[in-house]
Amino acid sequence: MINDPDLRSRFAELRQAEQHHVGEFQAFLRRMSPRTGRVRTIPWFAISAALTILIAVIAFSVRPSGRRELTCPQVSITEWKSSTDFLLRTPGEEILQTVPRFGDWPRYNAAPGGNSKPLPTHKKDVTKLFAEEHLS
Amino acid sequence: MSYAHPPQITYTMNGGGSPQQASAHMTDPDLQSELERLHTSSFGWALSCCRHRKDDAEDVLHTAYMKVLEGKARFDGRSSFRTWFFGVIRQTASEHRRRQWLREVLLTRWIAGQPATRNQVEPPDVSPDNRLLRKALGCLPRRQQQVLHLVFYQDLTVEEAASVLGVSLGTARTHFDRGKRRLRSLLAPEEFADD
Repeated sequence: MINDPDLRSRFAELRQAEQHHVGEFQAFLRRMSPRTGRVRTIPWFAISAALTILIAVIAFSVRPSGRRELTCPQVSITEWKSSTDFLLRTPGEEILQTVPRFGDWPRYNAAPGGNSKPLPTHKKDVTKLFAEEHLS
Repeated sequence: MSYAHPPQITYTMNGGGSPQQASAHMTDPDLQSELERLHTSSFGWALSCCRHRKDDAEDVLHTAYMKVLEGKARFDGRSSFRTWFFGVIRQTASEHRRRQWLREVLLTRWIAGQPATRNQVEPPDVSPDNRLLRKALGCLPRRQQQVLHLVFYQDLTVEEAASVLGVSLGTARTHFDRGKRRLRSLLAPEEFADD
């Protein structure tokens, strides 16, 4: 059975063996940098250089599209019109947008084949006019 | 880096009765002499933290010395200087492992497509007993290995080992007991054949 003193003596033996390989303290202080220092800087330098190149390529590839946008004609928002705007213009729209006046009959004279007589103002005149045109 | 004119670093301590705490202020020459006095045991501890890789242990110990002498790690006197410096070495070894993992796994294996290789050169004059002990320690979890090293190799108490490892006393005792049991079973497997 391995007890604590036995373990302690085994560790002491290991300690004695390892003490032979300990370098001098002053030699440790004189070392310029850890051994891994140089190895560590090379990959990071390569990575940073690759990232810089990548950023430069992206920056140059993005810039021309911006120039194209600048040359396009710019239309003011107040002057812009939708291409489907005509669909909002319904037939007879002017009737809804104007106020009718008594005694005024719009488009009476503009009708094809119509005469240029003044509009009748009384119901009798209209009846008389109809009788003259159709019954005579 | 030259240490011809090192910065004067003052280390204030909160009293205490140990010989290491007797000096109230440590200037840089005092610090160097204290580090030199602990150099052999510090190297053994660095070896243990680096799984007995000599090159890694040298790098870790050098970095720990730099931290202390440049004032990046400051001794506050809450424990003995030895316990505190062993804690600095443990922390430095942990950082070294992380950096090494990043370099080997991410850069070497993924980018370069080469398998990560660790060159562990064992000195030729290692006795079979020592080789067996190292191998058995290598099979233990890191905490158990470290607490066994601090108690048996460095002759620290379990309480001091807990301070070095930054764990509670109960946790250190648990690691110590489990580690001892496991180490015994590895060193003398015939005794534990019935387990």
